[in-house]
Amino acid sequence: MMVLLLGTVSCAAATPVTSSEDGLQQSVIALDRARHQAVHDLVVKKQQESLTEKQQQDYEKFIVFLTVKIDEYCRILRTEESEAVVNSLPCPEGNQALDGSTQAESVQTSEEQVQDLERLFSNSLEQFDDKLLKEEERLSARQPRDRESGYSKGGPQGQAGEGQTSGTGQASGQDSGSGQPSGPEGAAGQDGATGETAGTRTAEGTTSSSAGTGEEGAGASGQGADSGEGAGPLAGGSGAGQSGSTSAEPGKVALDTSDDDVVARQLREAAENEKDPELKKKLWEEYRKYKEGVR
Amino acid sequence: MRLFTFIFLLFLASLFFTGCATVPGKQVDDQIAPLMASREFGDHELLDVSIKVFDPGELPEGVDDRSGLSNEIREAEARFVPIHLKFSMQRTGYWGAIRIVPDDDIGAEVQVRGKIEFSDGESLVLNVEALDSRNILWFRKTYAETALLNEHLGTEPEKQDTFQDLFNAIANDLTEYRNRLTSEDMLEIQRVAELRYAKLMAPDVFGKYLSFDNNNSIQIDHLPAENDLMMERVRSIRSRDNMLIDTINGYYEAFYLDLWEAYANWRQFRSEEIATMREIKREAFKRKLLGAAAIAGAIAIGATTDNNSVATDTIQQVMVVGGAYAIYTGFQKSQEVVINKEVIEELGVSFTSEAKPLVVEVEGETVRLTGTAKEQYVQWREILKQIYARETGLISDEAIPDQSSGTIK
Repeated sequence: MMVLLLGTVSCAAATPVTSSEDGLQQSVIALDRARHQAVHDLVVKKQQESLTEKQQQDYEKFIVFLTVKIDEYCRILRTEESEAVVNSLPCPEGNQALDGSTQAESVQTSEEQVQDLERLFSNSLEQFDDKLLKEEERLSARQPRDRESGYSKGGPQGQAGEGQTSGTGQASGQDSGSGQPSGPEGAAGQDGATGETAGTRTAEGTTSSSAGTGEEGAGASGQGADSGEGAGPLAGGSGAGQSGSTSAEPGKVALDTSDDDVVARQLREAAENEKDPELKKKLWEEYRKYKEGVR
Repeated sequence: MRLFTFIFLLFLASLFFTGCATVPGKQVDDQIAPLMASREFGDHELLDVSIKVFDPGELPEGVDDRSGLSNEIREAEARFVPIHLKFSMQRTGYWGAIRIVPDDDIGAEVQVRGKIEFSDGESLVLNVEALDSRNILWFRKTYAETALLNEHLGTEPEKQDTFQDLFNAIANDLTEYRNRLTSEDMLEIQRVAELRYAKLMAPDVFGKYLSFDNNNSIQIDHLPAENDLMMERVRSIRSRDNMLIDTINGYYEAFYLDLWEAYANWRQFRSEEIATMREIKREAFKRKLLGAAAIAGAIAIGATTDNNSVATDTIQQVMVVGGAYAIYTGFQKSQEVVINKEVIEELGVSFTSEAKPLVVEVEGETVRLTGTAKEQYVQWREILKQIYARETGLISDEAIPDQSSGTIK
């Protein structure tokens, strides 16, 4: 995959940008530049060995997204525009010609795409496994409710108990208060309860969540456990430490960035870092589309 | 003679009108033993069951009937009841994994749904239906049980509920139906369930493997190859899905244990109050009737006796005064019912305050987990679609990425 992406990057670097080009073509160029930057960062950081496995997966996820998106736009352009237009863009070569040699390339490209998708699928399953594991830990850490704090016959404040005594002798006389002590207390013992209350649990949950948001700045899922995502490709750039929303484009309604996933965050950061105003605009458009798509 | 007959009839009437409360549905038998497996079954004989969180139903319409009940209590019961049913079924050894699911489970081998028709602590009435993955309805029945006061004692989480007879009756019906299935039936149920799930995850691939027959049952038209890669991918998703549901079930079980004591107490104390109130009502009614009968008797004596002797007059006066006093004490007795009602209301308020946060917590965790998973499943579906499109070269209109969607294609 890396070879494929790097090969496409060299193509993109030589692509001229003119303001007269069609919107879709601009999008292809903008996405390709973002991909070029992501691949470059990935290669440099890998050489520096400053990447965690998770960060590397994030990069790859983003690059696969960009590649698939570029492929999609190129296919549309190939259908709606002339072949010459597509040739001037960083589109996959394998789809261009119909002669035997390029068909073989096309098959090769599809296989690689399947491999990329397989890898994406596999990574996604692994990430989900990690999440499930964390959920299991969270569940295990859950403390049973303090079952002595609330319910008793006639109401928690004992007022009704007085009513019972004065009113129905039979009923109050039966108030042994024994209930079912063995079950819940046994359960509490199993879970290793040491008197921690539900209030503590809630507080922990809140802390965890807000810690996640803080670490990730404007990015990621808001779960503390996923804070590794916060150190993604462009972490430390303008995205870090942002508040929960940002204006996707000057003059437009601000988007909530607090729920950005890996791809959204990196798209946003690519848009923020893009100097060319036309390409910047296109990247913001892609960001908006992506956000609308995942909602 | 006629007077005594009159009084006797009134007495019988009083007993008749103040008898036990009635609930809808046929009562299950008393002391129902659960059907237990006599041997250990292999995987192919164990069907997985998904029990959907029950429909809480409606509270009774009458003001008195719904006294001390609340929608919050029903919401708690709608989760508690299926969880206890799960435990009751698990112990029998006839089933594979039994899971509580918040919604219909498209990949379930056996799906159980239920509705609480009536529940007031003393009685429980459930409508339950079970169907398998082939869309074949096993049964749809109403189960009712009015617990005796002693059935509120000796209960134990997961094992012995106040309405254990009712739970055993449902579990036994499911077992009986399961025992009627052939091994071919079970295999078909398992395959259809898997293909239904596969169709959900990869409709382009598995959309035509199943069809409906004339009875609206689902049948298998094709089977994937044993080493079908796409099915392997679907299975890997399914196993994650099951693990997620298991996690959710962990929260359901924690909810069940947290609720247990408060729920058991509420049901016991409420039943005692209802029994007491019923006794008071019966006593008050009896006194009023006897008083009225005494006065009516005195009038009758006066009307049928020509000679107003001193003795007769005295009997008449005693009967009138005694009758009036009996009626008076009957009304006094009735006042005690008001106090009982207040106690029942208080019990309801107290239990509601206990149950509500537990329901909110378990529901919150369920929504959080399923919400996260839904996003993930959308992404997996997209990936499977793209893999299929690239593997086969069959990029249908449906498979072409939606331009407005930025999800990974």
